[in-house]
Amino acid sequence: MNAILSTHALGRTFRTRGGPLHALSDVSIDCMPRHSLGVVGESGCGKTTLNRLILMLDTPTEGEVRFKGKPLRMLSVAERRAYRRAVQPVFQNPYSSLNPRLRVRRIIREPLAANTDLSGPQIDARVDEVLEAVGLTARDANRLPAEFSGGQRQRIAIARALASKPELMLLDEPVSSQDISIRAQILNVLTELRDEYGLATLFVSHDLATVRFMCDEVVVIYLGRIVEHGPANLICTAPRHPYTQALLAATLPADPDAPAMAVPPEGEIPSPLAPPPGCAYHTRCPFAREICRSVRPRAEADEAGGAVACHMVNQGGW
Amino acid sequence: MTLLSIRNLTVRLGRDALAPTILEEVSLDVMPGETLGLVGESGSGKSTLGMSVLRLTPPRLAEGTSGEILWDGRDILTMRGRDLRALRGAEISMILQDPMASLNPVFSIGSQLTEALRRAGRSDLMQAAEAALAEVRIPSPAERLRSYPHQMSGGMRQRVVSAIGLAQEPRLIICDEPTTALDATIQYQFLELLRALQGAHGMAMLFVTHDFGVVARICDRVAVMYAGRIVETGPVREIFSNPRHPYTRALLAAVPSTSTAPDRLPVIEGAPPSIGNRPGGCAFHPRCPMAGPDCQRQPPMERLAPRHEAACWRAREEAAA
Repeated sequence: MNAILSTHALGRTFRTRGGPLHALSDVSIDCMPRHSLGVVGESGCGKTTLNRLILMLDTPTEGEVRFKGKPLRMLSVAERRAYRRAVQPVFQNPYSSLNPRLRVRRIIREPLAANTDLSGPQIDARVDEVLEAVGLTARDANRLPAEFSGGQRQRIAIARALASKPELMLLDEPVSSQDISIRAQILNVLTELRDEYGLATLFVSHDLATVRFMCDEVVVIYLGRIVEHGPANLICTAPRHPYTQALLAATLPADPDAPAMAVPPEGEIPSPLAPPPGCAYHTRCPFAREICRSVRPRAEADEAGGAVACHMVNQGGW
Repeated sequence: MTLLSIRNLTVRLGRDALAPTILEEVSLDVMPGETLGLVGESGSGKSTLGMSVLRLTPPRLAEGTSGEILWDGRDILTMRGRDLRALRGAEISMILQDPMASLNPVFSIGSQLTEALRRAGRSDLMQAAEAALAEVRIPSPAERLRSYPHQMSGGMRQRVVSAIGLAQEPRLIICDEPTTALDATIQYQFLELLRALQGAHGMAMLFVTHDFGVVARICDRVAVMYAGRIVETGPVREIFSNPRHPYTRALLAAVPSTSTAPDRLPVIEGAPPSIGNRPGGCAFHPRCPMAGPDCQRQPPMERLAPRHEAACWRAREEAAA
């Protein structure tokens, strides 16, 4: 099966007054049809840069993004239109992603008018259909975003993404700004739609628990580089990279009797302006040896279908 | 001996008796040295409760405040300027979500810390400030005293705020979502630090949060808030293992976990009511799967176990079932 979207050694370096800032380096991922891939990392790890590169809001300085095998920069105008229809984003904050002056119908119509050849009545029918699919009603189409709660607004944003009949939904922290009771509703809507419409999803999050619920496979990013990838159940129960282990232990379970973290991470995330040499995590890693300070570990695939970029894991050091 | 005792605290949006309420008849005790978690969704009134204790609510809410907040037998709500100044920082201090809003951007860390230490009557200000930064585990504390807030990371700034908050050895610290803006690993470190500081100083904490993981990690007791009222309170283990209010139960069930991946998350339908639109009776009844006709009346807080209370007409039936 061919990937809908893939990135190949994707990198983005920003020039800043403080020198080059490596926001993203050597990131290769595949979004397969009907597959849900999670991207996890803390602030500054490059999650947003990855999103922006995929959405063509920014261009890579290394590597490339491919849509069905073809690099984005090579797409013809027609193909580009097809791409924008096939890959639809839902952003974190529905207070900024919906134009407050437009009625819901107009908000959902715009991408359809721009990227499809549907007629006016067809578009109207589609608007009604997607509003119902996300748990709103056709009547809501005539209201303004201000008349909705945060959870309902996020449903509108999802309906807009769904309206183009995408193949891949790019979900960038879609529930992080929501209350707990609303969070569960939105996550359920997303999984139901994914199953019903056979969508692939790329789910970007800082929260491993949400990723476990939403994804089949997970990529963990630290300072712009993939440190581990593998099936979601393994990443969340038996992570192998010391950073993934720390991230999992820091994901506090709602259980007062849960054991404390054996080895909490030390220190802070280093500045991407001056990433540490060797393995970028060595400054915080309790297992770091000499080699970790000088040689960058390569990701090595394992039998479980995952890969870990860690000298100690790959050499059986511990 | 109760440290802080809140009795029937009601906060309205203004003096008018018909003005919408933010808090309704909230009663709560904080014991010396304990950590009490205040959990709820946005609009539940948890932050207003924390702010009310230090009389830091905006004038409109202050006008609409009634009830009692007892500290050492004195009502904070009737205190005047000098007494309030003696209370704030010295007896009760506060850590807010955004450390950038607590710290002054144009003064160095050292000058903001020594200001608090001077109030505590310290004379060896620079040494004391350095020791205070070392205690909150800030690397190279002597150099950091000359830094400005913008030169530090979010986690480090929050440590500075804690050092300032602890400078006068308060007996209570109100923490309003202090880790919400922090990354997971940094949050973990900060919570561990707070626990260590509590062990060393013995202060009580009123910890406002929406995150049950944080509650489980650091609280002794929990009060769950919904639409301006406390709906359930009890020891942390009791709340997690035997939640009795349907809201608490539904909220706990709705949190995703790293250990399992169900097909669906159990949800609470609808959204929390906004202030001014709260339903009569039990405010949760329109969303409650167990609601019956009696839920049109406000249920009283009922004792279910020695330290476990819930405000639900069904809480007892559940216990029998």
